[in-house]
Amino acid sequence: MDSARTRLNDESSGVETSRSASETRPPITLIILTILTIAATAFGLYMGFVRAGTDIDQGNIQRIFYIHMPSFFGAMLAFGAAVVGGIMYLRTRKLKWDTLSLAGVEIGIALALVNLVTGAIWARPIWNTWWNWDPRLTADAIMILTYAAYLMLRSGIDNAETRRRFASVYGILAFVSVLLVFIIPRIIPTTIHPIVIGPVFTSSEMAQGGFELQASAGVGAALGINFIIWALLIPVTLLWYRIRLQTLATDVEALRAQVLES
Amino acid sequence: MKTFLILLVILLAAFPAFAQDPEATAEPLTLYSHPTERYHIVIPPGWRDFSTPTYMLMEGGIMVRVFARSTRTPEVAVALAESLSMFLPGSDIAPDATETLILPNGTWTRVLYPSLEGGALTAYVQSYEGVHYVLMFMSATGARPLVVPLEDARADGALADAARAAVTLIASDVTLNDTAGDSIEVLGQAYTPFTARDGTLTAWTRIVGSSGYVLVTMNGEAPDDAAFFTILLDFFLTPETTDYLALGVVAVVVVIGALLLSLIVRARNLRKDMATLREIERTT
Repeated sequence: MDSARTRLNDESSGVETSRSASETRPPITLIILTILTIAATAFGLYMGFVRAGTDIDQGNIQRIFYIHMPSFFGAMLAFGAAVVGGIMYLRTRKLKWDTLSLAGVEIGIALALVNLVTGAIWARPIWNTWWNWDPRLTADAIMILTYAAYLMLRSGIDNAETRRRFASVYGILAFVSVLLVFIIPRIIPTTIHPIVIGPVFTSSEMAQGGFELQASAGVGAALGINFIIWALLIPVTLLWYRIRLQTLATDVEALRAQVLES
Repeated sequence: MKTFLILLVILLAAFPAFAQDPEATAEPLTLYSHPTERYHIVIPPGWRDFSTPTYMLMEGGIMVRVFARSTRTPEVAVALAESLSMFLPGSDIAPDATETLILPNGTWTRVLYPSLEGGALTAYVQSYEGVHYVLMFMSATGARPLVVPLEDARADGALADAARAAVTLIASDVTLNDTAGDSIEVLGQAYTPFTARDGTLTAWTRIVGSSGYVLVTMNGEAPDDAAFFTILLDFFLTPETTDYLALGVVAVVVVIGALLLSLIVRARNLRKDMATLREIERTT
């Protein structure tokens, strides 16, 4: 048993197995981070849904923006982690980087879905449609499908090393779709999607549903707080849990192989 | 990894600094917003606001006043009567004529009252989700803001047609000159005058969409009261979109909840697998 654990603690793979990291209770840092994230999310919702003033043009649906926009940047952070994981895996071949990459894609897809669905619900009363094939919206949908294909690619390759290598390359290239979503409304003058914050290179006269951060009291503060929560705290916390889960899965897989060998 | 995270945190923290300059899109007109009734009215430059929690009242100079309020009475006629008693206490007049008009900011009922000693009174009522929003325009010069639908708003004689149609509403026996006077600009909008042959009134016209907007003034007065149209056209309601917000929150809970549930279930299954494998390992 001990020798098996020694074998599992293979430096080349970077797997930290045994009963330690993945099986035991989460570390105190993660517990504190989880409590902080939950409390901050509740506070952020209070700031956005109660404290911030109501937008006079859009009504209460504008408040969904406090989740909609930051969740995209949360997805961007997670997909960015997948890029870092991919690059580092290709350089070092350590399993922990592939784990980061996989976790980043999975969490990124969830947050991108939050962004997409809240956007569609916002669009219904403001644009009078759930969806249109605007360049920004289309790019967003393509981004999610691109990353969904990453998961399909992983599950379609049996050889572990090949799977990790292909997934690393794919994860790096797929980030182009994220950049496109960010850049498109800033350079295409015909998009209906408004830009509330961030640099604008070409303003679109067709943009509908924008608002000013100073439009009413508390809007800027609510956005700032929710930005930190949805673009930082939530993705980092979820990434950490997903990495622990993947580490546990790797441990189980390795132990299964040992049992079969013995 | 740590360096990467630190760089991302710095980048994300700096992102709100890119917020657009609020002055770039600032609205120059003053806006009155009712604290609870969700309606908003532009206050033209130079007008004074005398609003109370019950109604909105503003005056331009000493000649014109605008009154606005919302009411939940079932009948439009009752809403008008209530509003009239608040706006002009003691006056008991019945409308001469009403007409339904579709304007860019909603469907309105235009109500023409007979001329009063103090001037001319014209009302517009919009009903939305069981609430009547009443706008009353009172002008000591006798000016009335009138909107008339046009068959072809882009035709050459559209302005004259609009002027004739408007004048017919309030003085059917008056004939306008065929020739238009020199246009003047009021609040950024050009108005073209058509004067009555007997000189009793002037119709100041402009076209918006498929309608003619005609301010009929008495004795050829300049159309300072054209601010009425700015007030009428810029009136808007904050839409009731709370249900969509609730739907959005539910969607977020479902997506994040599904992810969390998936993480929990997968972790539990893996722990079971691990325990089973350890048991097998021990027995073998």
